[in-house]
Amino acid sequence: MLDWIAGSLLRSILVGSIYTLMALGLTLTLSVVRLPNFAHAELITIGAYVAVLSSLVSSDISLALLLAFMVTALVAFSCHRLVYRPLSNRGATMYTLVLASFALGLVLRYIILLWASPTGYLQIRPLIPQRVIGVIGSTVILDIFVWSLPTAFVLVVLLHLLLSRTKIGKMMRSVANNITLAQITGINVGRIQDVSWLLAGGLAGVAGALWAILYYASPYVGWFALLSVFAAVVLGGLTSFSGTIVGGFIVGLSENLVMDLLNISFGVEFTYKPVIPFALIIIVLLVRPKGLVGLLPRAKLLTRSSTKVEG
Amino acid sequence: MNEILKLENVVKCYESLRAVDGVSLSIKEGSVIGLIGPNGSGKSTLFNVISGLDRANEGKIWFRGIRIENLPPHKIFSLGLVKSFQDPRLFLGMTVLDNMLVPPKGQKGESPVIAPLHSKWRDQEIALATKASELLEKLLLKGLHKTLSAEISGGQMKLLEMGRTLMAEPRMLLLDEPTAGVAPKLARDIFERLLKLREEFNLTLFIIEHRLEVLFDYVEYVYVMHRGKILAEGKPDDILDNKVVAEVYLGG
Amino acid sequence: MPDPLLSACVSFLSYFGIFAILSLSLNLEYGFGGQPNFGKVAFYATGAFVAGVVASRLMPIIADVTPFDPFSPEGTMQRISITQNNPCAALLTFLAALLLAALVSGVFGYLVSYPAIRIREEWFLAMVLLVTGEILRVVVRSYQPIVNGYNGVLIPNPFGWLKDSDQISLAYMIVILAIAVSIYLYINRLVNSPFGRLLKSMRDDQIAAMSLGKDLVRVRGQVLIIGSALAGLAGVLYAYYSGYVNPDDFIPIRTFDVWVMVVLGGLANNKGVLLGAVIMTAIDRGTQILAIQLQTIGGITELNYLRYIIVGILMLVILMFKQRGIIPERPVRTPAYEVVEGE
Repeated sequence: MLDWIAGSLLRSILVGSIYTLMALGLTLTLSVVRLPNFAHAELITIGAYVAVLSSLVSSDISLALLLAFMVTALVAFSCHRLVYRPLSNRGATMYTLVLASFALGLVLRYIILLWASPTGYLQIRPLIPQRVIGVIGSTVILDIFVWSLPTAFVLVVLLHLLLSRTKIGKMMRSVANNITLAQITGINVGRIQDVSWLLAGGLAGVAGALWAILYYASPYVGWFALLSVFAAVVLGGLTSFSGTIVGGFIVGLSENLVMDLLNISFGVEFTYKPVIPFALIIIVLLVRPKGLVGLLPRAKLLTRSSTKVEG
Repeated sequence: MNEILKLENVVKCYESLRAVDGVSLSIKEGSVIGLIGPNGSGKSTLFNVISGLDRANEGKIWFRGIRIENLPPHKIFSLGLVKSFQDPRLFLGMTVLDNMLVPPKGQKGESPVIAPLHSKWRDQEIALATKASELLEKLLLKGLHKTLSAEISGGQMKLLEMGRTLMAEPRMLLLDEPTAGVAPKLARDIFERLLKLREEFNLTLFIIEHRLEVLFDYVEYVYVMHRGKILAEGKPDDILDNKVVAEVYLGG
Repeated sequence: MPDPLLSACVSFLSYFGIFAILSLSLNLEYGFGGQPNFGKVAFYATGAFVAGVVASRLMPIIADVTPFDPFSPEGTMQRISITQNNPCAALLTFLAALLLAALVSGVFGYLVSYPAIRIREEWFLAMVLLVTGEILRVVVRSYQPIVNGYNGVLIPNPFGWLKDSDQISLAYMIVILAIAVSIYLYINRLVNSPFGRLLKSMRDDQIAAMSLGKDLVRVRGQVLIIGSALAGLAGVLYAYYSGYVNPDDFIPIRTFDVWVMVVLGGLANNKGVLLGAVIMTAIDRGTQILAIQLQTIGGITELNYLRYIIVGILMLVILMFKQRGIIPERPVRTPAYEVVEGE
């Protein structure tokens, strides 16, 4: 009876770690570049497909993840240079950038659809054989479970070290905190933004690859995950690094453990699952719009100071 | 003369910084009062708190006998307390005339139910437009009605900002550095104009100003702020003689 | 045989009417009011769902017959037969749907925005609205009683009693256009007034507007109610036009379509927005017609994908080169200017 809880918990942590990776990329662009990037979904999708294509060549998981990181980082970088930066230079408002990111995401998504449809890649699993390691309750434990959490953990730690210990990390934090001040102190904001986009893209790509190996790849993979990812980011307070990590796991738990609980105890059907991230967002907005920031004892790495009225 | 504005122990914190640290003051109706102090002493913050744009953490504020520290800015405005901005915050997508027509209170046409029925607010609109036109003329902005406010000069923007404030028929004005960035001669001009308008409309003026040589010629009483507190207060001459003030201002 | 050119025109104008209403509603919210609405589809959908519910459940009551299960074949047949034989019932149901949809959408718009409306940053509200759209679709899709879940429900055209399909389409198109024109006139009157000034002041500088006595929370609420009600009307018109209410029609892309129309045509310019609606209708209908023509060559789905790619690129181009749209904004035109002209 209780073993379904263990399986559910496992899935929660698994999905939570992947959501965290996806969400961190978004947090990065939100704080350093001040852009809620709707095309982030497509970066995830691209990562997923890279994993699929890589598996055609070799069934090595680390290769798939590495390629996913690199390719997606490159795509994110191109988006920045080709679209977002030119728009910013022309004095685009935040909404213009949001609309642009939506448009970009749309274009990318449908190009992928255009490619995937005739080739039969509309819903495909990478050819990476998954060994069964064990079974808990009704949950079958595969290889990927062992990969996903450590990978996420390593990447998060690396990111943290980057931001807190390296020079570039400190520069990124200055830009996130006060862009004019950063410019005055001689920081090359353009370069920092480039790096941020590369990182954000890379993280999304790896997350997408893990997702594909775990479930499947489809042109809508990123789009479907976007709602949960936004929930994670909102929970974390939008620009807080540690907040996003916690947020990712909370969403993972809500969608799996809590959903299972609701299903078993109250007969709520699984078709209502997408409502969960929505509910989380609404609760945060109603109860504590700043998110979990402030509840967490650890130092916030990328937060901006509270908005003051300028007059 | 009645007391029009009173503050009692007002505190405003930002995280750990006490930007306004226990300020108490009292202003009589119809007077012209100055607020000075070095940069960062909390003057602008104090104005923000009084006008409702920021909420005080502690303390009480009365305007015309009514407690206002918890009221939203638009309610404080409707009581007759209006704050102007240091850098003009004009509605850049609108014309000069439209900018002037935004502040007046009680416009029937502002209700979306009444708005489509032009006949119901036409008369009021024409009356307001006439008044705006006269005011624009006094401010030397005549002829610019149809110009987008984004396209007028810096000095003209300041004047428009002032005109806009006056269209609100305020009882008391909080002026945050009204002569900032303006040539000295124009600065005096502005003060002269302010005093004339004060006589005409029986306004109370509370002015933050850095140009002490200009300010002291026109105000009756001065408050000095330093690090969020009222360091000293008194008539302009007394403040000039005050050694502590001199240290804080000139030494720093 | 139906004249293909005529039916193409009727189809074009019908879609144009619906798109025009949607884009006018978004222009009011964002172009004039500065409040971005990333969840337009939610209220569009609400209107359509209300139409579905009214048609399937109220129609038999209005026609005074004992209703069958609305989602059963008998229920569907009953609706069709009522429409064909009882013009009064058909038109009354349609009218009821319109009124109810405007009401429900407006109220829904207000309720949904309530948590976020007090927060100064407009994008909070924008985000809530975005999320609402998707959730509404998921819920209506899963919860059978509204429009039969993902199966959808069939609702016959209110002019079904005309019998001739050309006449039906034509009559309905005239209704759509009549409503669209009325809404256009209404919005024009609404924004060339102190209320229009109020919206623009809120848009241009929130802080200044607040300091000058404007109750922004109330205004935002008002704008959202009107915008949502209008979108609901568009939803009803669309539902009856397509004859079928299906939750899966209301995907987030629909919101984006409306944004393209508004940004392309011209923010805060109603004529511009109509231009945007024309262009969008052309792309939308154009790709459809092309797809049907190319049916023999194959690949209808691919053409649909191309449509979205075109729309996306169009949006990027417009944002890059003409951020505020093709036709620029005009000042509010009130009697105030008459006073000034005289000098």
